[in-house]
Amino acid sequence: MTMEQMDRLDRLHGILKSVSEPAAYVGGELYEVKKDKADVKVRFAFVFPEIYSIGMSNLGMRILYECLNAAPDIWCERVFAPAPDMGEKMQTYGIPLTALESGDPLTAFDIVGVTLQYEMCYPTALHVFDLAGIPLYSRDRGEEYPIIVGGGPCTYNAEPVADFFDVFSIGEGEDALVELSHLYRDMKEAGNYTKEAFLHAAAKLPGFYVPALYAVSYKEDGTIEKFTPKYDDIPMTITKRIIGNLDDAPYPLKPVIPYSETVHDRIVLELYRGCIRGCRFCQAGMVYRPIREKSPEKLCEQARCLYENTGYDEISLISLSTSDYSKIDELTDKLLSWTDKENVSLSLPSLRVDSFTKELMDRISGVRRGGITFAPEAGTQRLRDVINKNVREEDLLRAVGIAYSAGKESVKLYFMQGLPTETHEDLAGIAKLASDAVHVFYETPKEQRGRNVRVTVSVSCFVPKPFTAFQWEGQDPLEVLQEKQLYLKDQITDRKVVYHYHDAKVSRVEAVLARGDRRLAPSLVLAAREGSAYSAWSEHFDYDKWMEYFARTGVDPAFYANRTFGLDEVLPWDLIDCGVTKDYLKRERARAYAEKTTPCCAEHCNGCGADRLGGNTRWCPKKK
Amino acid sequence: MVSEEKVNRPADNTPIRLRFWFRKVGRLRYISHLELVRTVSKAATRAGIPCWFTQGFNPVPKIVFGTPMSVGMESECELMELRLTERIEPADALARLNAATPAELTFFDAYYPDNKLTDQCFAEYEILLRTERDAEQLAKTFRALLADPTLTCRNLTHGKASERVVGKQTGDAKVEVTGEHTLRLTMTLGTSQGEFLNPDYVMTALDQATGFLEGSPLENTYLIRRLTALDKDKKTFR
Repeated sequence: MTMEQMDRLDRLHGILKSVSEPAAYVGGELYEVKKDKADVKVRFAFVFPEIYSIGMSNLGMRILYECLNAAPDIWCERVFAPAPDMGEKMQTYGIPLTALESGDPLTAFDIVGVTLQYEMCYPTALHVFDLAGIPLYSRDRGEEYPIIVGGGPCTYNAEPVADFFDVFSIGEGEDALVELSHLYRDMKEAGNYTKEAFLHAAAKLPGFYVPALYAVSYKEDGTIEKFTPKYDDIPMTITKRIIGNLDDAPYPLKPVIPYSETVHDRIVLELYRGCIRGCRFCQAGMVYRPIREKSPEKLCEQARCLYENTGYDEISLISLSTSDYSKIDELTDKLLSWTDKENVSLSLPSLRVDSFTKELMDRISGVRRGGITFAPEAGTQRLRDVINKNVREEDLLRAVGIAYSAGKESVKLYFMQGLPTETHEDLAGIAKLASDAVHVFYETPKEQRGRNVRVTVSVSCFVPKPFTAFQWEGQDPLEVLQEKQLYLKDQITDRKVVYHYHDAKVSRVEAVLARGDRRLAPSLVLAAREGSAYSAWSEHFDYDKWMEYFARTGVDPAFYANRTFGLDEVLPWDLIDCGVTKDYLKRERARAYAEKTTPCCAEHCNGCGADRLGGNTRWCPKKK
Repeated sequence: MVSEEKVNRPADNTPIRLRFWFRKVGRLRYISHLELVRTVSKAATRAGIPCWFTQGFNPVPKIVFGTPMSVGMESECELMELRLTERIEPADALARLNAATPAELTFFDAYYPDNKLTDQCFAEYEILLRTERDAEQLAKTFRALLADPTLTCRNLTHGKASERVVGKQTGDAKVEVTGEHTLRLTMTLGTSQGEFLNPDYVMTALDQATGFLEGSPLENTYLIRRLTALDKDKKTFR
């Protein structure tokens, strides 16, 4: 046996044979980016704190992998959390977590970027640090460790994990991460790099938040007194970054194609960013503003190119509300001119009932026969007005009817329970609406509809999120959420209606983390190290354990989840400027309690403030 | 929904089979058979090879693979056949398929075969092994065990007790000492239906008889590699 052959029986490979899906740990897929270490100045590890099959489906990660690797002197590699069986073996045999492309451990990198997609992945992210042998707290990491940068939707309130990260990238990262990497390169080359000097310089770049440079003080009642910057030359608030023109922005036309099947195994086209609707519970609808659309020409060109490069037979048109794309007909016409011939189908995952038409339905009902999903969110018009969903019952029933006429037999309706001002009447309204949706099926002519009907009602619990009109609202106590779930169960008597509801306990922990502050950090360390690292997976979530972590670290979960925050209170996320102003959110909150709706941006500019950030703001009529 | 050209059979209705040979080494050894099928099927369409599509509800290119291997094993001699709608230059197909697959998945030969995939009856394997024990001693024990026609592997399937006598096929196996703590085993095992023997079963049988894996720093200290495909007379299969 030669030495070379012996080396291949290395440590990682010594355990891969006995884990599930070993392909997730070796890389080597089509279009992975390999570079020569000697040719690059910054090595960037992009961590998605979830398992491979989930992380590989994420568009944000694909985009940033593309942007970073487009720079010749940066090499960005992928890192995912191992599945629990693999993680256990890695700890047993002392094998550190490595990046897929080079197989190097995370400690060999200059910068480690971690995307925080949802609150429940916080402990998974810390577990990744542990597996990589990286100290959890920023203050414990010396010059020998990589700079840890956080990004993604959770950074709009990353205070619960602020002590673990050196810097956060706020907003869209396409340019920002390359800039940060080049700052690192320049300081290293100039010989003036220290972790401290680098972080100070990073805090002066637009869109970067260095938590250690802002001290937090608290009042006696536990609320925040103020944030104090440690230097005079760093901003008091950090304004998020956006890409002005999406047509010119890099888009991954050769995404890494996994050997294994991933969650979203298809071509993904991003139609636009932002949302013209103003749902008062929705964080995405606020923090991704202003609206910026891509042109149908650009989208078609990218779709064709992606099809040729990937061979996928489905194109998914995504955005926060796909049917709101102003040129949806033109785009689908253009795509259908070749997709049908090539046996490629189109799917539109986010449809609104009011902009859903027969024409659109015909375009997407290809060979696939799956169901169709709508999100009325609340059961009565009163409550839909409170949350500004702006969807009427007749719109929903009309949309459902169109789906039935096209042969769909299964309709899924998404609702939320525990919304501010909700009563039992609103809950009963969910049952009635579902039942009405069943009746529409029987009113559809027999020759048009399918044989059988099923309406699935899926109900999640309201979680107050930062940067929404409901950011101040307390969540219903756990017992109330659970009682409401059972009440709704009793109300649903139609045998064609299937009722699913989310675990209210998960939503409560989510609410704690969503509106949390830096005092939560010790409880997250316990979660990562004492059996809750994979809390985002329902089978690994244990509510009692979470309550224990909170209790042991002196955290009162009700203070964060169930308390109604004061309108004048300093919020943990007040340091961040996402574009939409607090005044606007206060106005929206007042309108919610007055049961008044607000028109969408296409009809009227409501002065949310996001247009200040620039970009293509043609949806803001008064700002033209 | 199946388009016209995709259901086109050749005029005389005999399938056109183009055989490809590839190596499955390095990181590829962790790619499962199903993942490989999926990858090649996508790559073949992407490469513009005129594949014949199955005629079900969900048409996919018709691909037949040789005897699959367990995840974790390497092979120098994997083969598959693509069914085509028209004859194309094999060298051209080879180049196009290689361009459409990950760098490490390399197809090295393509031709129209005059025999069937099922004419392959055996394969030759080598097993490179690292042990904490004295290699000479272990080699001696292994030789004796492999020569015993009753050598048996137990508990093959999870949770369900079963037995498989492997000794009947290991009579010709060779054990070479390659270093103080390293061995090289070679053996020829059946691949045809009914006769198929997974080399991992042989290694498991050896471990059960000797406990050679016990005390090793990792779970897996050997690498199995398929070297050559053989026909019924144990001559090279092509």
